[in-house]
Amino acid sequence: MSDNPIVSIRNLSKHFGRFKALDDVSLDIHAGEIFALLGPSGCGKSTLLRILSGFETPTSGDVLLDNKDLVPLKPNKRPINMVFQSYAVFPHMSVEDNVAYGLKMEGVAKAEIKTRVEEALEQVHLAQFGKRKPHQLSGGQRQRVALARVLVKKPRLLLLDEPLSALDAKLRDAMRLELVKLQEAVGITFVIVTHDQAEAMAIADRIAVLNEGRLRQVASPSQLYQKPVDAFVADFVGTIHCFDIDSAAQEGDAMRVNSALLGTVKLPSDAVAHSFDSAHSSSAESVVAIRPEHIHVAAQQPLTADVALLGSLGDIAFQGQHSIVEIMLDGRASLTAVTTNSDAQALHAAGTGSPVWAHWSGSDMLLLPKDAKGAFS
Amino acid sequence: MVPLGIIFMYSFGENVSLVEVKTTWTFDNYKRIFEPELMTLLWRTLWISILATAICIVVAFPVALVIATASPSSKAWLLLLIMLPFWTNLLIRTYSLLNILGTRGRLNELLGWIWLRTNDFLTFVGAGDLGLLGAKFVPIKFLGTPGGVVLGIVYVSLPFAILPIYSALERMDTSYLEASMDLGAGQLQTFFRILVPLAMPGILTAFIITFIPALGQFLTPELLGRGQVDMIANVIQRQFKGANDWPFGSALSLMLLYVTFILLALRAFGDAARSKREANL
Repeated sequence: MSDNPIVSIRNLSKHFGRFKALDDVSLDIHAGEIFALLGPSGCGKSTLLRILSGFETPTSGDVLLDNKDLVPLKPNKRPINMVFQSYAVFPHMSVEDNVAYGLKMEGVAKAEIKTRVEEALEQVHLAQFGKRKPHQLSGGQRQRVALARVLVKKPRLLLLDEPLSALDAKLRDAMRLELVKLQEAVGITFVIVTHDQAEAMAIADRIAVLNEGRLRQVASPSQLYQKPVDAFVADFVGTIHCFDIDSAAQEGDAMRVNSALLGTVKLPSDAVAHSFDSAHSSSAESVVAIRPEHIHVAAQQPLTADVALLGSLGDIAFQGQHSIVEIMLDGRASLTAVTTNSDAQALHAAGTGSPVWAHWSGSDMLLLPKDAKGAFS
Repeated sequence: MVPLGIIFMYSFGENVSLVEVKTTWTFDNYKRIFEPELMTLLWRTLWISILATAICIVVAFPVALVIATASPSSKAWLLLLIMLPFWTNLLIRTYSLLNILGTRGRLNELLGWIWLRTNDFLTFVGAGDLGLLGAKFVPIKFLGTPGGVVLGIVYVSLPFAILPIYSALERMDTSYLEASMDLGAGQLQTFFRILVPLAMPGILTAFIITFIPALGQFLTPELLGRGQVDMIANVIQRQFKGANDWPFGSALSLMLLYVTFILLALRAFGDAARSKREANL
């Protein structure tokens, strides 16, 4: 992967009246990667996609494609194509005509159109379906037509708007893998918009997390999960339990954190988010957090544990490979812990409501600002 | 249904006296429709209706497009403007057209004014002596000509053409248009290759809903045609009154009814095929 970005977004803002759909967003997309824009609905990810495709003009800021200004170009003049959320496969045209449409508009010679359309249909395993009309296809097949229709144009950048949201669960999993394989085969840079963190994690090389128009973090999926920049990102990319802190102070190599619920915990320096600084050390600005897979559950009080909380056993949910155990803490809050199925069975035998200890190591915890304004790791 | 049944019986009858018709199950009344004189009349009815419908659709499409893409508040006002003429009696509307389309009517007044200004301009640029526009403005004769009748029918039918096209455009998913632009098509290509084909159901409804009433137009040819541009309805009316040939009039009316039925049946087939297609989508 080269360091030279294919797309460079600089201080991009888009306002609709008083509403800031995008607020000073800057990020780079590298050539050949799958880049995901992730966030809850209304976070601005679709607006960003529409600015890339040319259907919205930014209020301020720059968008560069291959170091050239993209903003003044009309959608039909950009080497960028989009797979729409609804697929937008033209219902009055056959599959072939749909795929050929973009080439016809480019003025490509007829013979070349024919071979390229065949090639594209083969790529998405629809070679036999060229003569069909869209209404004779399933939802998954229509999506492949939409894919073939843009791949055939060999764009610099391919935009996919919630590509898997309209498919059923089984097909979605298969299509995830297929999208990744397809991207590897064609080498085109993909930008995927999604609200589904599992989807982004599974597909993308890098993910940009957006919320309320602001960019929170750009990182690889594993980095995003292990080194979230703040509590919002940590919570959005997976389950995490956060605890308010009273104070946090540097103590040698470690960070000493006081929390009403947890007592005093020592966190190693790599458990402290990069975005955490002295401005965040006041109690209202930061939290300590732990993910469910790091929480252990025991019937007896553990002898050595950095944090140990006594609670009562709640529901146990069997998940297939593992189980999720709920621990009720004094009626105020509950924790969930990921356990093996056999451990869960042993706990289940003790009965709901029986006293259990949730415990974990301080080195598995994270010290996070609640909101890391403009700080990216 | 009863009057229709009576007309059906009459159409197979003959006049036995001045006031009495006897149903003899003769086909003579239907055979008479195919006489040359009537064929000319049918042909005129047909082309006037087709032309008026075509003009209606060509004019209605951009109007419908403007309404469909307008903001919600102006949309309501525009639709109100379209509906407004419905609240005025057809007879009154047609009479007011007489005032507009007459040789000394408002339209010719306007055209005369434009002619004058254009001529002034030509004189100003030094082309006045060439007489490009003729020596003097000749008012266009609308009344008593097929052109006037077509204009009249267009005026009456336009709202009926606008509404179905508007509703088709309104329901259309804009991502089709965006996809077309995204794939490299310009505005015009998107218009003809995507927008118009996708609005086709609305256009067909507009066609049926304008064409069928146009076929049976009575008032417009009567008033604006000044009796010189008769359409089939005028002849039917004459059979029942002046000519006192009720059997033939009945046959002619039923003929019109059959044509209407055939068109509606074709439309229903088309609809069934399409909803089958959309059910799968």
